[in-house]
Amino acid sequence: MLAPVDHEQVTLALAAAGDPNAFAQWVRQHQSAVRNQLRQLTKGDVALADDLAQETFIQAWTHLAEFRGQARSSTWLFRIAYNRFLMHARSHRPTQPLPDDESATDGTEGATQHDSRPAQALRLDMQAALARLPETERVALIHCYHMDLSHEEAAQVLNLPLGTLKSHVLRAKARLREWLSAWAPEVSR
Amino acid sequence: MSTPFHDSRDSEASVDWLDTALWATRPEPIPDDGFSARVVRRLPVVLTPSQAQAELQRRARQGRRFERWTLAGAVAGGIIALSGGPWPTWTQMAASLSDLAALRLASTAALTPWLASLCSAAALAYVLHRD
Repeated sequence: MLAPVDHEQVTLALAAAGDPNAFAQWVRQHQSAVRNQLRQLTKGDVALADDLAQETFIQAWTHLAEFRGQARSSTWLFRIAYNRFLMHARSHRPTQPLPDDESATDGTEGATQHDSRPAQALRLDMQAALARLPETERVALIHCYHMDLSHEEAAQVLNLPLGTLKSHVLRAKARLREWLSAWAPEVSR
Repeated sequence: MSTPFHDSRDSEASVDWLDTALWATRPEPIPDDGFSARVVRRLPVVLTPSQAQAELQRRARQGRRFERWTLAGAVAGGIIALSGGPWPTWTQMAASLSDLAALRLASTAALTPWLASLCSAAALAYVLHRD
């Protein structure tokens, strides 16, 4: 019996051989995840995130032959994207100070103010709470919960020891549990 | 393919309200809207093995064409040098050189056979020793 064909592997093999159409198909499969990852890393800077996403895919194109398939291709892409983001962040220091804890508390305590549209309100409060987290914890949490990665994969993407990543996630969740406690009854319902 | 968040439960025995809240606030999928086309337009040229082979063959053909024309030129120059009449004497050569130095080009005809044979010899040497 023939082994099932992995369509992504076929697409990647064609792309690695220089087929731009196969590569475009692969980009279409992954562009949403990578752009979302970078939008979260850049805290919503859509233009910057898309520029970095383009650079990510171009870098992936030039190194496709080196991708051996040990990890999911999405994990490999997330890692390239995260490294591009780090390179950008190191070369472009922020000119505006990041919001301090005090200003960020405004958005996380308003659960009861948004009763008319709870899903949207939860999203806004979650975004505000995530923005309050220390960067390492925020990045660990969004990769584990928003990027569909296991802890091992997230640790690989962020180049962190697994234990360190798990500690970041636990600490981040402890903070969120406290800051978003007003949402507990609403979400548990 | 891993299940979403399958190991994000280290501190809890089961999924709690925060896990649910985190999953519920995952970002919406982003439509492509020409993004992949823009990426493909920016791709640097990377040759496939067959394209690389074709490129090598093209360069080899170009090299052979260059050699043929250089050889033809060298031979033609040699023929002109040898069939252009009597060769100048050393005295005529010296006079021609001094005229050339003084930019009196009209009287440099005595140098022509020498220059032609020199150019032909240089072209032959280049083609024969270029690799």
